[in-house]
Amino acid sequence: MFKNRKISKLLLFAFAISIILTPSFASAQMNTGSGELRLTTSPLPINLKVTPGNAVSAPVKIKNDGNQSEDLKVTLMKFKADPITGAAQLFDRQAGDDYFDWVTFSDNTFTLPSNEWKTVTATFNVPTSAAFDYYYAIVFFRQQQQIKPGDRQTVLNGGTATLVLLTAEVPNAKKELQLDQFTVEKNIFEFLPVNFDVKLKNIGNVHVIPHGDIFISKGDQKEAAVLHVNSTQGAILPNSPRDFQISWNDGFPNYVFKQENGNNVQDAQGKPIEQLNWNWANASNLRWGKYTAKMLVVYDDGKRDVPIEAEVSFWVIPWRLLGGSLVVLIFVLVGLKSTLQNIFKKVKKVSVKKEITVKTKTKKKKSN
Amino acid sequence: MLKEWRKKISIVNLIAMLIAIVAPFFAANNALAASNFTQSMVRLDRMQGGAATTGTICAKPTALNLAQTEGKVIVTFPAGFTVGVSANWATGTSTTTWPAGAIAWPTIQATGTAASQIVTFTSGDLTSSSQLYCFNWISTSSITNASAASNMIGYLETQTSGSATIDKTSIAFSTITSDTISVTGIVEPTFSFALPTNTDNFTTPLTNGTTSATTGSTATIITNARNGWTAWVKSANAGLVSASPGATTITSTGTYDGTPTTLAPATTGYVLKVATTGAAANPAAEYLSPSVDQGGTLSTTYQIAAAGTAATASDTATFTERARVSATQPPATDYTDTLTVIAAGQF
Repeated sequence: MFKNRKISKLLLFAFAISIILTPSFASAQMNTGSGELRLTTSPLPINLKVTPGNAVSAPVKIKNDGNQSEDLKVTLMKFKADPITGAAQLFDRQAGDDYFDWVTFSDNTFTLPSNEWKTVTATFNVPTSAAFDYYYAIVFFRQQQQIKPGDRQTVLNGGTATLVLLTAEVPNAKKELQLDQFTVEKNIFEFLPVNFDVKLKNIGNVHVIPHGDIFISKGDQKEAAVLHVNSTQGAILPNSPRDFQISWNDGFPNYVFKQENGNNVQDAQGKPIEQLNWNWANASNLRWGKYTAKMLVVYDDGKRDVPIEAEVSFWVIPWRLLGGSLVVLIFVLVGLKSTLQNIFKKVKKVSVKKEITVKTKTKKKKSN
Repeated sequence: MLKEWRKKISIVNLIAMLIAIVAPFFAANNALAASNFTQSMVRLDRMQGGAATTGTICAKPTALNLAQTEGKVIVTFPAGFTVGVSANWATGTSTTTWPAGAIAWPTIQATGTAASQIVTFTSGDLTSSSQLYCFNWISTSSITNASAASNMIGYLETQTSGSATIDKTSIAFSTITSDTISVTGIVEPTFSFALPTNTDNFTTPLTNGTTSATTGSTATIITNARNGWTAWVKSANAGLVSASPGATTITSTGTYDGTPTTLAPATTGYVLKVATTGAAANPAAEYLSPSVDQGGTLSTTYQIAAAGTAATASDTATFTERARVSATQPPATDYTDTLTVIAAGQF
């Protein structure tokens, strides 16, 4: 009896220890660096302007959307635009990046409970020697990222970044854009869309946000359409281009991407499949003939709005519709012709019969 | 003779006195014949002074006068209200804004008749003293509110077709300087990134036969960023490394040049495939890998893995590693790599 009681006490003690040490118990309170990571940040790209020798601050909010607490750290990185494509490239700190030292955070590491927001303030102490633009990425990572993989396993770490465009305002800042390209993908289209490619290059030393319109006209029809260029206020970074793809697609019929469950259906090469969309409500938008697209884009060079203009022409020839209509027209004409011929033949027959009858009657009369 | 005249005068006086005494009772009886409604309202849909408005008229008849048959309903608007011409007094019986339990006023005239401040509608009989009857005037051209003021008195009245009052009540109209509330809201720009798991398994051992692939790990992006988003990927080793004695790195082959690399049979290589969902999301050309033997080169610096060009409710990017080894690749069970994926809203 005494022995049994001792054994059960030991079992109870062992059970309690196992509960305390069990990983699931620990993870219920604190994430150990594994499992799902869900983060939301706000705002999105931050534009800051500061006079050298001053400081400027920006609050960056982060929310833990996961179902467990997260230990997070703030990391500073930089970005720039690819000089050929203009795409954003992300970099760790490199030698000579002294401007990383200007930045301090209100919290470098912190614990963020599930479903809670935290504001981290980034302060940029910009020295008097600073000039033009500096591009930072404030990245939130898990503090603990050293996951030990199992056999045949790879590890994925995730992070979410907020991009910061900091301009140190100096008098010799140069804001200048040049037009590299304003084109359409081909000269003749059967149906819309017609995709315009506007490629602007920043040849200044600070970022520029251009905006404008493409006015499409056909003969006397002054404005067949007006399309906005850079309506989303995208910035062009110095020494890099930015492509603005603008689509004119309000035609009838028009090609659209084939979709299933909200996603584009792709071919074997991974390219989205197009299909013809016959929206009869837009039947009045049948496009055909020669069109001219005039682009007018402006940007602020710090003194005035500088315009950039260009023009391109193209044809829309819905040849299948025209061909079909022509065939139908030919059939109608042929049918009309044969119908008329039949009518004429019948009329002729009747008049000949009448003539014969009259002649016969005349003959009979004469013979009588 | 004089006496006779006096007698006649006193009789006349007596009759006159009697009439004078009785007359008030008759007058009182007449006043009792008309009573207030049990419940009534004339509600303006807009209260702003000077605003053109539609409205609703409701009434519950008293039990006292229920026996009488309504033939008209008359609304008298206070001075200051501008009453439109008769043609504008179209009626309707849409119940949307009526009090609970109200029913349509029976046989209400399709278009009322306006004269000065008075608008008259012919009406059917209100047969229940426990029922609230309503109708609307539905044209904003019918009436324009008086300037902002409180408790301007008007009247609501039901009459028989012979114009005898059945129920009548005064209605207090009030108008205000402004009846609208300006509401402003802020939608903050947000960027959400979710990565469901940290590890990704090669489903089969790496061999020189066929290309092996991991299960794939899917990142989800939700953002209202107007210029979309970009995701970058970096490899810790640009290859699969093993700590086992004698093991050599399975290097990520090729270069990041916008063209996927094909893992040829009997060669060693390690690449990444990225697939996206979302109408405006696309993998980088480097990682667009239609063939099972293809993939993009992994680098120890961040490279663009995928991008979306518009705001999205749920774009995804699935990262799948692919590897192949030659027949002489040293055996080990711990070939591994660490990928870091960062995503951000585009500038």
